[in-house]
Amino acid sequence: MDEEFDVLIIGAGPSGISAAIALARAGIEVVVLERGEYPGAKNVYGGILFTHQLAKLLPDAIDDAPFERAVTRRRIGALSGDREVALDLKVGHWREKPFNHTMTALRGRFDRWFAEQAEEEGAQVFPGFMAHELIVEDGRVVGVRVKPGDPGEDEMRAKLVICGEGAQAFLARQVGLMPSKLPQRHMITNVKEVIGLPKEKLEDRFLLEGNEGVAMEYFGEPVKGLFGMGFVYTNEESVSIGLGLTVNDLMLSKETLNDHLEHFKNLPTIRKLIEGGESLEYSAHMIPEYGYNHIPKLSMPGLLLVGDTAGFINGSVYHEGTNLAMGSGLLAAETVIEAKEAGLDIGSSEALAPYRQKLENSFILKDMKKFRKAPDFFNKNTHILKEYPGHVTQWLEDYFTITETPKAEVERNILNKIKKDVGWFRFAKDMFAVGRSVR
Amino acid sequence: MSDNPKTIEDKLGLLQYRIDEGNPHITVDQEKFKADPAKAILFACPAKVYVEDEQTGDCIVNYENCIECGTCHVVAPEYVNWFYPEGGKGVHYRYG
Repeated sequence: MDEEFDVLIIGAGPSGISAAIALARAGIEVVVLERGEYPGAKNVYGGILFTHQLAKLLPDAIDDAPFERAVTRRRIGALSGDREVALDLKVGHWREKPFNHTMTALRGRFDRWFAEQAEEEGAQVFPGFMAHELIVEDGRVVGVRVKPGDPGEDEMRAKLVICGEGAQAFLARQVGLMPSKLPQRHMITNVKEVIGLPKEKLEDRFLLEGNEGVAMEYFGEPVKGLFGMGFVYTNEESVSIGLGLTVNDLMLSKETLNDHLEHFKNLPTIRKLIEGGESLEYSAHMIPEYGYNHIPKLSMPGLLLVGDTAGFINGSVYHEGTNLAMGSGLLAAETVIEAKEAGLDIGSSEALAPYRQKLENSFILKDMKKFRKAPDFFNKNTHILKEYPGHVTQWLEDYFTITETPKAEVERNILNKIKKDVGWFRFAKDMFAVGRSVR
Repeated sequence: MSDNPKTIEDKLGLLQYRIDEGNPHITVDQEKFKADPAKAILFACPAKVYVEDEQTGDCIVNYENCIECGTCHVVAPEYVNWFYPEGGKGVHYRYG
């Protein structure tokens, strides 16, 4: 193939397709390469799609896209032994549009639909094509090689490549925008099962009405106090249940993620949620939770990084990824459109320079910056996730245990226990440090 | 849930694959694998792609089981050479 496209996008995920839609709409020639048999065939995530960027791009998506449920209840819990303590937030009006921009969705369905929207706007989506490597000439990316082999063969050339290849970032590493090895402390591997449950049973079990859904996330016991969490999300007629650990902690644990997942599924509070369900799929995927301080270089002549490739993840308590991916795709497209309007070569350094600042001005890097200390903090202070779920649930158990012991004495005993378990100084220091890590 | 799969082997049975016969997308440097006391890929891979041959100590690579998460080459970049299967090949998720 000798022709040169305007923009070549690697990966038909949320970031690449968002860029493709915006570019095609602006009349820019855009081709998307997707290694899966169809868009979505390789795409895995936890299960929640945050839709505020999607709504900007496709205002009707809220009615048309194949979503599962609207998340009206979020629960963040700590489990320890047979004890559980949780923050459980339910907001009734989140069941109405725009559903707090928090939907459960299955990527096999959603990504396929999303790529179809790009095709309707005029983008060309080629599934079954894998970008093996970037072609670099005189310091500029000029295309990709879609098969291994001799230079010159099976090449696709473009003025600009937008790389949304995903968490593995092979191409970004190939050209040195990030270190050649992915960091074990910041790469999280998730495993997940989709478990089918009849609609009525699922709605009864999770107290859901109509399109309502719930997102439950758990620290502590599900991952045996390691740096990670377990989750349960409700789809229309299934539950997505899974957990993730940093590669570093996975290596320390000496157990398979499937062992961890089975342990989680069999915890007393979790078992009843999925009882009688039918396992439909087992999957695994990585999340690049580098944090703001460790994101790669985002561009070089002829190349922009978007989505997971660039590490656009807001871990913290929000666990956002899809919206950052879509947002970055939109800003990449905006950068290109403005460059073209200004008469610039769209792959030149000058054309791509504003991309980083656009990200800094958006929720993407503002939020990542706010939580920039969190990934390193929990890596360094492993005792917090290891010890506190056990302590806090025990202190609360003691507080609510009904005996003849006078309540004043119960309180004194708990305060003594806190002193003994942690120590007041360390307790204050830990709480302050946790607070600081998210400021 | 007694009928549901619990082991990795059984769970992989739920999946559809387009196997690229005779064209493995993973290779392992056997000498470096043998020299690694931790051999963490044996348990870190969520699809049990890597199995140690009890007789030879070699790493058997069941590449056709791969569910393409990439954990192995983050665990052992020194000796696991992992790349995606060719376009259209490999695991084929229906739910994701």
